[in-house]
Amino acid sequence: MAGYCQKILRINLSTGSVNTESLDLTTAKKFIGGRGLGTYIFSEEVDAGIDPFSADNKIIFAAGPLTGTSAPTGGRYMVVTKSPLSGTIASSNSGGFWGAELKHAGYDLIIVEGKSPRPCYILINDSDVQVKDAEKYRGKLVSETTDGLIEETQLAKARILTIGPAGEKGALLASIMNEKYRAAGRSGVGAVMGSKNLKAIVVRGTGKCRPADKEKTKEAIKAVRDKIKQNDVTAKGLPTYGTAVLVNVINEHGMYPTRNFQEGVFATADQVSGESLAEKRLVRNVACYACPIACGRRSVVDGVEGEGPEYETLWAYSADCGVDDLDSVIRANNFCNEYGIDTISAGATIACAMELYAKGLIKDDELDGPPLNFGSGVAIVEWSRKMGALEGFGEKLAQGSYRLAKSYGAAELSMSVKKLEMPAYDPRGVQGHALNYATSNRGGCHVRGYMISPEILGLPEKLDRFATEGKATWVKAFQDLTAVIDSLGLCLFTSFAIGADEYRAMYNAITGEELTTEQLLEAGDRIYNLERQFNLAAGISPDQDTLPKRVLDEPISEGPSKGHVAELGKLLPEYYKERGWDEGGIPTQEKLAELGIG
Amino acid sequence: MIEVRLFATFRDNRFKERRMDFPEDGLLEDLLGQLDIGADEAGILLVNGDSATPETKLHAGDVVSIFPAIGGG
Repeated sequence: MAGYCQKILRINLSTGSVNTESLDLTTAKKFIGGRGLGTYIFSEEVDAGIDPFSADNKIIFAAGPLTGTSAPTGGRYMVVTKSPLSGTIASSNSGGFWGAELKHAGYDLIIVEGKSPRPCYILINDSDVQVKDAEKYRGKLVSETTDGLIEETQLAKARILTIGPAGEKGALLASIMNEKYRAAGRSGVGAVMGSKNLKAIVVRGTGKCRPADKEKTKEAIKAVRDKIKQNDVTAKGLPTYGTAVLVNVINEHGMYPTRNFQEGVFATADQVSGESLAEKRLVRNVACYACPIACGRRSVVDGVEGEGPEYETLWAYSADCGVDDLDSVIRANNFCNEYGIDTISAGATIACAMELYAKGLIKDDELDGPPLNFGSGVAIVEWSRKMGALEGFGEKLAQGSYRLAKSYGAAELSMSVKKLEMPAYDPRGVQGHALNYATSNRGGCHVRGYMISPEILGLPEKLDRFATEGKATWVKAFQDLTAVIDSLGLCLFTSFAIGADEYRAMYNAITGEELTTEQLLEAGDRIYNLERQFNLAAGISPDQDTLPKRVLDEPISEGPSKGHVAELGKLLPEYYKERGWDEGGIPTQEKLAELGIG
Repeated sequence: MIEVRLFATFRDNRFKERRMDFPEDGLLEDLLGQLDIGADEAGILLVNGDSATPETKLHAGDVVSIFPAIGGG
């Protein structure tokens, strides 16, 4: 079956063995690839109750059938493992070029098992695969490691995925970075890599992903490219301002979480918006593999060029911490990228620490750095560095807001779901998105079912953001479609311009399959249920399908969302029913059998 | 008097924020016309933070936010 390389690379770091296995195509078709196939293999091979830092935990790097092809945005891969932060399934997605390079080297997935006795990296040069010593990269920043490995391997065109010092030292917020600036950011996947003493994976591939039907593929891709070019969001908004264009949109709706979700409007948001970034610090746009959108931002401050900040990062470090100094936000973002920590969780954890400090729970004598005052640009920069280096009090911050707040007897001040920090949309102002946060299989995540699209942006149609009725149907549809897109190996932003039929057309043309749109969406449903089953087996019970007390009980105090709380009590029962789960949130045997995973 | 806030590309050759005289019960559509913004170009229209349409009537003291079609996340 074209699209797939039909090969899996299995590397055991305890023994140093490297094996190539055939991909079972029936399974591949059932779970598509990427997130779906990675999760299936992971849950077949790893006990859900495993300690994420055990050598028996595995980490899977999974490309999709459209990754590395000419499909627009086909550069994405997923990192699948058990999250040390949340204890849920972790499937962390990244763009750039690494995923496509893996396919060009001839592999759909890499399964990494065991634990290396010393720091190592994996070198994949087409079919030549070696586990190499990485002692000299111990403690090195992401850019130093990336440059060093290019020089050492003499593979100028290789793509490098690496962790920073944070992942090596077990920070639960650690990310995995590729091409220096692209991040598989969430769920602490970098710490799992670090626990295996795996510093980096270098990939060079010279092959090509040939489609099953060249003409049909050309046609399907042209149709998609045309829609991306004609769509105002993908052709104008994202290229001009990047994701950061959302700062003012969300703030004007009064649901821009401010000072650790204590307020919904950040008065000086415009100073730290996409418009200000474009005007003051943008150097140029950056595009990932085969991407006609190019939403990436190359920015510069203090003479240091970096990438970003993205919308979520701008929010976490500005409004959530009460900081309106753009340069400080960029500096903090650069530290996150260099040390390898998730910008959303890092900023949100500092915001939580600021509230703990304001309430007198964190005391000055504990701090070996600047006071944690809301509004302090110095604090967000220095504490990000210390968090990345796990230095002093930074080590405590690096374990995330839930563990931090709990250690002060105030777990309710962690604005997280299933211990993963919620991103930049206050669920009190957008009810469908609230339901998505509560039911996302990896915890507080916006990109498992991006309800902001219909509830705020009016895409594909405008919904009343405060209504609860009918939202469960939308959330399920968005979650299932997202699972498909993540599994195909495409960027979620394509969904602003195209729908399920276009994804199906590309998948069929490239793989030679004849799936219907319904079958493709059913695969999304199957993947979502598979993840749910893993979480249940891991002890993540349905009573964790909830939100922080603050957003359930305390109405937003001012602005356009004033008076609203997240009405989860109305939304959840409808959602469970929509999913075919029982009243307690457990998938029924009938539902699992229908999806072929019973 | 109303307050008008423009965002993203709508700021080009216009303004960021301005207080303007506008007839009581005048239509948002007419404001868009004054600003030379086509109704089909406006992706998100808000009046006092609430979702609005070109047919929405404006009143003294209203805050009108106008965005082109945008997305992100």
